[in-house]
Amino acid sequence: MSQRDLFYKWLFYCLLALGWMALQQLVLNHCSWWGGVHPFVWPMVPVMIALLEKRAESCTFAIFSGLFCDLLAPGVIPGFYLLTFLVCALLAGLISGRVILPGFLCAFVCSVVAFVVSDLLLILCLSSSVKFSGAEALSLMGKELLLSLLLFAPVYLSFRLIRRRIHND
Amino acid sequence: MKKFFTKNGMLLLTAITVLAVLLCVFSAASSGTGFVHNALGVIASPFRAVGSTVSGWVTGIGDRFESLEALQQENQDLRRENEELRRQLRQAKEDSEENQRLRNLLNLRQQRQDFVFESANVVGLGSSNWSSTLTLNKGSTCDISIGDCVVSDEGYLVGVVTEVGLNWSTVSTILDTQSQLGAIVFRTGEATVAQGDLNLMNQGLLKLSFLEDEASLINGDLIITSGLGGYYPSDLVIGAVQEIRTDDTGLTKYAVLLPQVDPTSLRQVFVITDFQIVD
Repeated sequence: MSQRDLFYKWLFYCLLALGWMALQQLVLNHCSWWGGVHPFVWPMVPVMIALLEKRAESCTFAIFSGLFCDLLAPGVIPGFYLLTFLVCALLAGLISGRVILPGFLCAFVCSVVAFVVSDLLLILCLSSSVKFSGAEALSLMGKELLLSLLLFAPVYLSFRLIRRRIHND
Repeated sequence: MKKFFTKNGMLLLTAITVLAVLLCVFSAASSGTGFVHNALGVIASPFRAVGSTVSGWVTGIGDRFESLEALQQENQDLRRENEELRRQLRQAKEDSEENQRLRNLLNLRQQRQDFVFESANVVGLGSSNWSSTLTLNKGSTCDISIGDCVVSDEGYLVGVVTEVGLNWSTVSTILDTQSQLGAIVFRTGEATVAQGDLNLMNQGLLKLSFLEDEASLINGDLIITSGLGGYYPSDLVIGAVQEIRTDDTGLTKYAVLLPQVDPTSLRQVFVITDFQIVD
């Protein structure tokens, strides 16, 4: 792959990631579907990159996109998204190829794992300062996961389309 | 024929000239329309009509082209004017809304003269389902500090500042799970605690806990800040009791509060940067 193709590939990845993040901020945050819960696409973005690209590159992407999200919408603790995205990208890299063959199913499983991991980290952070029951947390986690997975296919297909276009060219 | 004109040309020309002069003199001398003049008019009339029609048609086409250009120009001008009027209408609407907010604030200022307000715009809404936060466009340069209460233009409590930067600040709304405020029931004066709840947050509700006598509460009871300890100002409206529930253990009861203002729908808020502590 030429330097030019490489440049365009990452440019389009970044633009697409920006598009999904903007959609989250401008549209999805204002949706209130299931007991006031809205879909959350951010953790899926670094996972898709981790499934399509090499580990070092995907981890770098996860760090920068996490940093961007932390600046855009502060998390429970400073640098929460940076940490979460990095963990999700590493886990996706481990699962892909070693546990499940890369593809649609693998991306789906990795997305579920990313949501579970990010929500567990969130619960861990929150539990130090807020009192809530495990059932409440699990209920919210389940709702968020199910609603967010509705958007899994478009997120996955959009990133795969960029990779295919660049590699076919 | 050619020979005839060559031979008699001059004679003919002289005759025609004399005839024309005679006709002119005759016409000028006669008071009304003469016979010859009339006869010529009758003969020329159809030709004049055709000429007039053709001329009118040609002029019409020209006028049409001219008026088309004028219409296009007029249309463009009207469109521009329409756009300008629309822009003015939008501006007027925004100004009207802002005016209303400022009027409300003025009313609140008159009611609570001990408050020092700093207006700020909401520039971001927290993305997570696990917290309820707002990002404001003003920070420490405008004297905003952590722990400052944020209210709507009508004086309803929106949340508390939890993070401050130079030109930005983050507000945890009253719905957020980390929010905990000393409150009193306005009707009975009973002290209690209003706090965010993970289960209720996404429904736009919060919880009223540590009730001494839950039996005395009725739906619609107004809950205001207590101001105890001097950490937050007193008498800020938090919300109204929506229902009373029993917790999972079945031993204690809590009330569900509906905030007076939906914190996530606001565009402009007011930060209380200073207030008088009332004992």
